[in-house]
Amino acid sequence: MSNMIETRDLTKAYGDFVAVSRLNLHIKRGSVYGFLGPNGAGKSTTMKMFLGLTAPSGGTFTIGGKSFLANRKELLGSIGSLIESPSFYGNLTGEENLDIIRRILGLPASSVDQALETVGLTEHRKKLTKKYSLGMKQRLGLAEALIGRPPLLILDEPTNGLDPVGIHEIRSLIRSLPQQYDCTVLVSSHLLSEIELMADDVGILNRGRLLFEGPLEELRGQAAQMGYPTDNLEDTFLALVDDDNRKRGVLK
Amino acid sequence: MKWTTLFQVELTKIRRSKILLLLILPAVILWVPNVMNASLNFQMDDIGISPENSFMIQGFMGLAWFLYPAFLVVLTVLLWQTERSGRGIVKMLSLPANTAALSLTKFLLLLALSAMQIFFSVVCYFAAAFAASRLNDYNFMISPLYVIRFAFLLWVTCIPMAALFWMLATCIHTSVFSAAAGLALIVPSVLIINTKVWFLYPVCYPFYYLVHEYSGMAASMTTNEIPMVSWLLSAAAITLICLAVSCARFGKKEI
Amino acid sequence: MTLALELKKLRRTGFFPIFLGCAFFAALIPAVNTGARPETFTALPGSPGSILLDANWEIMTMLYVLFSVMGACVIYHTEYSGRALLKMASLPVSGISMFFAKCLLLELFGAASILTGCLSFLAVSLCWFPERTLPVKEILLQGGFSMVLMLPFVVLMLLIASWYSNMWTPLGVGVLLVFAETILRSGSFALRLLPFSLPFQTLSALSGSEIRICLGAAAGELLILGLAAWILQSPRVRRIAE
Repeated sequence: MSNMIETRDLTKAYGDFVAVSRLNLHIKRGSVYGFLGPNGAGKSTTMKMFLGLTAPSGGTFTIGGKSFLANRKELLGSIGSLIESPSFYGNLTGEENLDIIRRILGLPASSVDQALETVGLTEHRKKLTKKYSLGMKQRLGLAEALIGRPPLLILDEPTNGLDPVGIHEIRSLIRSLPQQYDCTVLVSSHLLSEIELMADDVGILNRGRLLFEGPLEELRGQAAQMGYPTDNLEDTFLALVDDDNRKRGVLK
Repeated sequence: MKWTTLFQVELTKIRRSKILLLLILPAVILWVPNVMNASLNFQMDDIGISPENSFMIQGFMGLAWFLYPAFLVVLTVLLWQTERSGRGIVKMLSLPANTAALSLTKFLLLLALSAMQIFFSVVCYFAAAFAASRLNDYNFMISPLYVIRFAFLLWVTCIPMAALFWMLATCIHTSVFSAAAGLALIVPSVLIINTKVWFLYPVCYPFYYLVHEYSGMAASMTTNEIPMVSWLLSAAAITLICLAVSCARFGKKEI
Repeated sequence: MTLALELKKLRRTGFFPIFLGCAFFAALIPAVNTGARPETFTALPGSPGSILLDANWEIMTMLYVLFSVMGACVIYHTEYSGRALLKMASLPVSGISMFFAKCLLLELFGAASILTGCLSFLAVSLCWFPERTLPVKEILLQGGFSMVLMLPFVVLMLLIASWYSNMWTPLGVGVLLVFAETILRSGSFALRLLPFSLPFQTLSALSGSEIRICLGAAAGELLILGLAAWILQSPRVRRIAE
């Protein structure tokens, strides 16, 4: 299976602060890749680099085997994204917000209805987005990413603000996307318990550095070898991050 | 992507943003006191201007020196607010659209809205002239063709100023600062207009053009000559520089 | 304490740079205007105070007034943007005292800007009219007069700003009020007594009785606006409005 996204020593520094350090990711085509890390680990920064929202300080990355800089327009047309929090025009309805994106992407009018249907917002389509609840805004953000069924989805903490039922729904949706839409999904979270229900592969990031990359089974195996708890993957993740912090002298 | 699509997208974005109210309200506010004070235009003998010409010029004077520039400042900031308040700009930047094209389309929208403002002012002028004529039993209406030509040229003279305000709103991320900077630039224009280098200050342009027309209508006023070459050159240079900076800086601070 | 708290709330909001910029920019006007064409002014007879005030005060006041509008918008924007006003309402703090503390702050910063303008006038007088008497009393009296006449406008603007969560509405209203002043300026004396016209009055253009009327009008407006604020800022009225 070829890789949809590949990074080589990808780095982002803001002055002295290194947000992402020499990252080497391999995201397989047609998989759900869970990008895991505590808050401030560099997940959003990495995702922003994939969308050209921030320029890397060093290293390179390819999407679908193509370099971003040379193919910006083409690549952005094939990526659906939700970064940090949903972006929307508060004075417009959910439907109108999606229509703007549809026009820019040159999609048929029916794609708006499909996206609304997929995230369960059809009945709120005519409501102003500034009056949406947090969960509805998050669903709209997802619809904005899913519209046009792009071959690559970059979702930054997509279940933020959703109620348990909503979380379950969105999780199932993300899980089913590669089969349904024939796409690759890069999804971030700070909860391993959430990622393990969705992802085929995980990448664990802490303070800008990749601590682990591979299938969940491999994570369990590696954790057992290193003496980390393996009964509960959340504990494995915490132990991994804690150990890394100790090595770097962050925690005593 | 087609310019028409981008323009349609920009038009969609300003739905329900109360911008239309902002276009109509100043035009009404501008002309109502003029109708009420229309009789003052009969006392312009010392200036040597006819009451109907004075009626038109006095009304547009308020527009050209303060209201229109202030309106452009508020409009540019509002257009940016629409993008920034719900982080819509972040979505725009992650879509396959050229940022320079986005900036220029927004500027075109700004020009279109300012043209609408002028249009409403002209409509209100005709209504006001009609009302004043009825109230004072004197025909305050002047040739519609002249008014339309005058209004069109007034709009044209505002383009460099609009480009300047658009650049300020794009470069100054904090909307309060960009509004403050824009409003502060308007106030001294009445002083700069009296200097020889007024054409270097685009905020002066509409007012200077208006005074030029005024002096042409008033027998006792010396016509202020317009140094066309210097003006056109500096207006073109200012517009191009401001637009180039806006395109280069568009969306740079949003992430 | 309320005043100190209100001052603290304005940190990093742009309020202080706005007034610093306003004071500096307005103070530059008489210097640049006189420097650019000194003979226009030095040739005029009379006190340098009235020459400079006549030539610059209106434009400077326009800046002070516009920046007071911006200041009022910023002051309430900080309350609304992070829903801090809601938190304040749930704390044992009086909304009315909070409002008047904000008024006092805005007035103080406006007054400081006016004072800077007055100092600029004195510097310009020293520089371009060295042989004439320094018009200290004349300029300071005008400055003080404007500070007093600015008060009703400050209360009015804050009252408007406190009522709208969207900062751009009071800004638009404020700009329109300033514009209305430019139209009403040529109207009757009574129209010049409106809160947004009062700050533009100059002592040299008014007779003794007119000055007293202006001050009386300012006091009356202050009383009415204060009463309006007291009613509109009361928790009960705000609850009904929301």
